[in-house]
Amino acid sequence: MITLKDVSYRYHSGTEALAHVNISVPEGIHLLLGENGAGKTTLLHIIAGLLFPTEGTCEVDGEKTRHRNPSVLSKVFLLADNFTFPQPTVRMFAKYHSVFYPNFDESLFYENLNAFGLSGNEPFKALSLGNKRKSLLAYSLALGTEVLLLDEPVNGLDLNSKQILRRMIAGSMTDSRTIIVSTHTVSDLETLFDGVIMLRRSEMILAASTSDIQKKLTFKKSTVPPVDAIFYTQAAGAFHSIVPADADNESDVDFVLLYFAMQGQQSKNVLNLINNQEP
Amino acid sequence: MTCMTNTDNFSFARVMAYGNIYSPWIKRQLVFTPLISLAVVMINIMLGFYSFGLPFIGLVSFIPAFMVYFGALVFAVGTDPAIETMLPVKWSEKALFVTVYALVVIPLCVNLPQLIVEVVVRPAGGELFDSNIYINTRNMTFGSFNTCLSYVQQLVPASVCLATIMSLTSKRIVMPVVWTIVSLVALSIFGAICGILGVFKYGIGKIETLAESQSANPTVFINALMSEMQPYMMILMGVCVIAIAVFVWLTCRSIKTRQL
Repeated sequence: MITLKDVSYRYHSGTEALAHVNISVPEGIHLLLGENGAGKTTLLHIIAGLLFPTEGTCEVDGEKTRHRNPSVLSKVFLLADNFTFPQPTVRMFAKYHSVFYPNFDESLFYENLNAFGLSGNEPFKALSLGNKRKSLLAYSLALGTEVLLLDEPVNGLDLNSKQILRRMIAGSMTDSRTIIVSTHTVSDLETLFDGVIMLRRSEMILAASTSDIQKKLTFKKSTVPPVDAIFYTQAAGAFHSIVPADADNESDVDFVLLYFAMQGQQSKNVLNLINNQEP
Repeated sequence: MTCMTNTDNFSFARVMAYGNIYSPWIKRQLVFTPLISLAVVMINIMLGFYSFGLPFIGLVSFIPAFMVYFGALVFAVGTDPAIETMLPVKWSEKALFVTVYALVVIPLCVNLPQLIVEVVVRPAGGELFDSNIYINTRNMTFGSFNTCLSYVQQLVPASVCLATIMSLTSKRIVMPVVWTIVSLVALSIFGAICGILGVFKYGIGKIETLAESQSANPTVFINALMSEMQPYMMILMGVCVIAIAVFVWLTCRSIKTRQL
């Protein structure tokens, strides 16, 4: 469990990257959404222990990440957008790096590589962006850390690889694992998410589980303007709307629509429904 | 794969495993550094047999010195500060490894082959290794203050290089090189000031007289001059030790408090 208590982060210039974030992230796969500069990467870096909060505390299983003790760092891994290492191949990197992570599964690592069509012996610097990403995803998912933070994991991946990644992430889940995925391309991994965290201008505007959202909201697509919609958009001739939940018509969560709803004037209504309304 | 302990107690096994993160560069450095150092000594000895050799001896001697000064660059080549920071290794373990490696291991790899040649090979080789131009260091007292000072002086730019690498999250090769050169210049200026003060204190006339009387044996002259300069060399030694301590402290602080 990741717990952030009143976490704020301010740069030396005074710019606030995160403001008073209070959240407990339970086990499961969570989507982290927000506009550019909302504080997503800052949040991930604080959880990974790369940044110290200016105020507040961030804990993983009750241990503060800012202390950077081996016992807590061995439970967390952040796969950032850019990642370099001195070894020529990802297998050699794994040989020296994985010794610090007690739950690393070597056979799963090779399985993941194989699924992506890689051997791990390719010279890493010579790989394309997509193949570099695949190598590192194969490794990260095999590390077996209780907390895995993925920053834009599908960047550079082809359609087939995105499908493989979906299966891998789903397959790597355990009862004690938390995966937070920060991505702008929600649709690639949409079916996986157990929860969503939304940031807007350094503040957290929503943190809810998918099941809670489904109990309170229904996401509809129609050809006519919706009557009882709390929020709707029109795209390609169809109306995408959010209405109060209908017990008979539970729908999948449209995270993109929910994100746009939370950016607009109807965000309070949406939030009230999620937090207060009984089905 | 053998897994490291993830307890929060200090672990020497983790210190060594941390060093492996920098493979293969660190292993290559440990192999090539003593070999290059040995090659430089042998080249210097050969150059000593030729009248044109002296300036080249000076130039070639820069190589082992630079290997010490820039030894810490191995921690910047191809590495990601984020991976280093996220590693489940205590900051004290990281600091111990990088400091001992850059300020003890690499200087040993550079200086030990040279010492072995001077102490073992040259005496054994006799006239084969003697030359008119290459200063016969066999007659200098090893372990003397000035020899220690030359080793300690090497560590000042080496510690600057290390501290700069550990404090930066970008430009981790260019900026350490720049700051190391700055520290070398500063050290040279300080050393020159100490030398000038010593010369004026001793008296230029006396030095000329000493030089004339010892002209047949330059080694004795140098030793005599150095012993007169001792107080200023002590000041230089003190400044070097303090500088090294400060930069080691900065290295530890950078590792402990690094944010990305």
